[in-house]
Amino acid sequence: MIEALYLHFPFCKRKCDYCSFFSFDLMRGPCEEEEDRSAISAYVSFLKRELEKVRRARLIDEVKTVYVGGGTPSLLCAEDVEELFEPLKGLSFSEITFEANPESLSEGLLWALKKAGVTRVSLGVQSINDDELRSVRRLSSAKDCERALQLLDETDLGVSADVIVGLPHQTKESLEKTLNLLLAHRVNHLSVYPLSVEEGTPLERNIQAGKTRVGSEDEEAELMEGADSFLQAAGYIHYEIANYARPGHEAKHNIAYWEGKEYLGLGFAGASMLQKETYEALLPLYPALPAVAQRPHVRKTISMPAWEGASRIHFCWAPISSKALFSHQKNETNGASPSCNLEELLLVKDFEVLNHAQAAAEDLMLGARLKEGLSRETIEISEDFLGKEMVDEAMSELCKEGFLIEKPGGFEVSERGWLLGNHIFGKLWDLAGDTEVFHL
Amino acid sequence: MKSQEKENIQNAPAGLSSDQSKIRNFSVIAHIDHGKSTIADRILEQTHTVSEREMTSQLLDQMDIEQERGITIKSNAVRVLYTADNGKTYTLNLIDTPGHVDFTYEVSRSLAACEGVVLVVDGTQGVEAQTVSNTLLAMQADLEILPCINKIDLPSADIERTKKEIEEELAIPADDAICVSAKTGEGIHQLMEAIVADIPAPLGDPRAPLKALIIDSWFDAYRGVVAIIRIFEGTIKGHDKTHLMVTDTDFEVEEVGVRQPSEFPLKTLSAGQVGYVVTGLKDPELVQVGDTITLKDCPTKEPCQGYREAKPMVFTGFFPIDTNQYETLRDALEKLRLNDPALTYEAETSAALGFGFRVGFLGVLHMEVTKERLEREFDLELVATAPSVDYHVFTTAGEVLEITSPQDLPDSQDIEKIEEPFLAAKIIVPPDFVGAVMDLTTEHRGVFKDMVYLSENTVEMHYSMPLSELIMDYFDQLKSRTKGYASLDYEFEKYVESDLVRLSILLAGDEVDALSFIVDREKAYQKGKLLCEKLKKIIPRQLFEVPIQASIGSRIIARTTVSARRKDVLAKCYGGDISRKRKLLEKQKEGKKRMKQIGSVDVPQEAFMAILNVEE
Repeated sequence: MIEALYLHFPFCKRKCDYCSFFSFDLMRGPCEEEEDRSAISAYVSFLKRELEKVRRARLIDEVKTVYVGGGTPSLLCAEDVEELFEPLKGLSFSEITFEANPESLSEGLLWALKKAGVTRVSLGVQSINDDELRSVRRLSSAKDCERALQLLDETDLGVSADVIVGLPHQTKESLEKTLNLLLAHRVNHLSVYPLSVEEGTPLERNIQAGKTRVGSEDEEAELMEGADSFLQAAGYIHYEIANYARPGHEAKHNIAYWEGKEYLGLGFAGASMLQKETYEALLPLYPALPAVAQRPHVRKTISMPAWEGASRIHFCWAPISSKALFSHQKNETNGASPSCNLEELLLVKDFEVLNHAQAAAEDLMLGARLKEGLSRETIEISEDFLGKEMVDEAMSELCKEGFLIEKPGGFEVSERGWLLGNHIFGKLWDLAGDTEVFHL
Repeated sequence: MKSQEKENIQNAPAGLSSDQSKIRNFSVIAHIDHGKSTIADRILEQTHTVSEREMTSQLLDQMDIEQERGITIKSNAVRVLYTADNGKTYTLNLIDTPGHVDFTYEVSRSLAACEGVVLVVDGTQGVEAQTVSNTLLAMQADLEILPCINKIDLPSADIERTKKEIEEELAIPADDAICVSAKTGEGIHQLMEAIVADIPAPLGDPRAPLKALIIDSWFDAYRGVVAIIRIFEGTIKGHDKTHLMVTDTDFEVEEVGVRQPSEFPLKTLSAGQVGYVVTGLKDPELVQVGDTITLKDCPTKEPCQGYREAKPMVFTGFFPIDTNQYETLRDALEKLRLNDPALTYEAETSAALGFGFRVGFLGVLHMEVTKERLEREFDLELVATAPSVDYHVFTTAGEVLEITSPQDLPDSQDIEKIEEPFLAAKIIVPPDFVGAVMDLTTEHRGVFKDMVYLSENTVEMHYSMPLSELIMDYFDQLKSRTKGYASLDYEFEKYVESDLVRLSILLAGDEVDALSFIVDREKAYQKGKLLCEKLKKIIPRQLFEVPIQASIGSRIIARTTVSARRKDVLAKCYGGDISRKRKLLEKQKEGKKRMKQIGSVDVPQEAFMAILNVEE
């Protein structure tokens, strides 16, 4: 039963220096603005067809939350939004989140989002300090951020803001100032992440070339701790490693990921986690999906033993090549290839089949991200696959090392554990044993 | 088979190759990268000794590591047939020599088998230090030296300047130096003509009792030990009953022949020739480089001069990171030893590292190369501990102990005195660097003996210095302080009493035996402090604070702390990030596996070698 639906919108006006996500940088792209717009429209139509397809197959009837992420979904215009959400009409959701960047959030778009049923906007603020924003080539200025927050103040939408800790030029004071400005608005949810330097990004190159300096492990830890006490004092609950919310405003969609619920991602770079049975139901819709038997468009097949022991499947959509998506668009605008479907560019990558022990260990690992994640119940379920003795031993070791705290009804991650999560996750994932995850 | 070769095997021994006047035995001396192997390749190519199909670049350096590091570790000999401009066909024996101070003895044995050398100097670089030392060995062996300037195809080549350097720094007339480009093949013909014209033919009576020098040997699983020999007197053939004079061993010759470079059997080898002999012996230790082969029933009077037992001087512990690989390591060492009799090993146990071996080497390079081969050819992951020398410890109980591992050193109250090996070191350097060498060598407890000017631009300095200092970082420092100009040569001199102590390292309060080392008492304090600082940089931050302490006996002399980790890489973990996260965790686990867990501290491999270069 798919509970969470993710739609990926892979376009940005300009990519930020730290970003390693799948998204087209339109400024660097080969097209004029006109053509960009039509590329976006073609992509929206494609997503719409995708939604219609899974809707017809009755795969998303039980979906509770929807998340439109990117990229920069706020590049969509009001008509695009209307078109995109059309196939979801008649379904009821407890949360629909839409990601937006401050500089492209307009009143018109907000109005369209409201009309389409969106309940929550996740605003990519990152910082409200121009030096910090410029240092990683964010497109928005501090002024843009304030303007977008003001726009949101006038709605009744839930508002989440992303904040990056450890940006070049950032100090304890400037970070606090950003947080203060955010709290002056109707922000009831915050994601606070340390800047991560990903391989192959301009940020990594700039650091290596000595053009950009980022803080040390200790400096970042101090900023994270500072932000933590600031937000907790302001009444936000630290409900996940990097997420804070006023009570009742936790991100339901994201919690579904951490609770091991099934999710379906659509669009290029959309990632899914499905139980074996759900995957089987999805198979007839997508010729590109691997199966036990050889399929015409897929070079690889799942081995029989892996499939027999399968519990859950992870995979992600990708275009045949990034360029293909764009040149395809270009052709379409030029009228060279009349109505070629983007569906034909779909490939599957990062395909993995987890067995029951691996799925159980993954649930523990993800559960440990949440304040309430390692309940007695979750642990007991995992024990069936991982062995009670092994699980008990890992838990008591983590408690002894001060990473977990035993409490009535389960375990809670300690403050030290929040910052050194990989140690906890590593230990919990190790419970899956030495068998490698089957992957294609 | 080419017709020439057919003729050769048919006519042997009376044919071409046994006519001494038509044999030339020579070696090529060159600095790393100056083109020794490429010139050798061109010679093989131009004489059609190997077909182009067989021509992998740098044929002589057969081991992977030799090719990668551009150094020759083992000696080798290849025969080529060359028809000179005078119409006569000559047998040229190219004897390859190792090019590093660890193997000076092997070089001297290879040179002993030659009548001349080709001295290759890179026309763009000029004379460099490494060349000097081997050229001097050649001069001492009274060999004809043919200077040869390589890389003349490069625009930056300066032939006149290079000639001047050869004359001034090596005191060798260079007017007639042969200019070649091993890359394009230009000048190779002239070089070969010069080899024929200028290098003397070998002498020696083929009817005298057999006297053959072993230049190198290796183990063949089917035929036992095969040796490369140079025959000075007499003749050797299959079924000869022969005698090894140093190891006092008899064997019956199974086969003789030449290498070109694949083996080519001949009926006999006689005075002046270089070739191989299949001994059938199963124990490589019996066939030592420098030993003399003679006939059992008709022995030569004197063995070849200059034999020296290849004795390990440097000892280190090799421990498998994965303790299950102990057996694999033992088998691997056994196999390597078959082709490397200078390697010794015995079992060693460390509280910190578990079961491993104490392995003896000729020098530090020999050690590094061996470690690399073990890891690469046998798929082992090893921790190597800091190298040590063989200390002679005189106990109060009147015993004399040979200690090659710091952890075996008795308590100080039980020690009467300790003696350590001193070397007679010879450093050749341009006069400008004499001061720098003096400072450095004195810091390393070297005792200055004297110095002589070899030429206007070369000074030879003589020192007596502890081997333990030399293996630390002396060689690297010597190179860097003399801009690479100094060359170093040494041999064992004597055992000398020194005031030595064991410096122990404690991690998180527990002594780590594998990190301890023996050091001059006066330097202990400073070394301890530097090592603690260095370890602090090497040991990654752990989940808890790790104090690092240095102690002599129970007295702590230095201390520092690796502070606890505070923050991981926290990445977003939504949909697609989950698989990525798992992969990161797997990678993290792999990284941890490559470290050695000591107590609860993860220690990277390089920590055990940290003492080797703690100087700032």
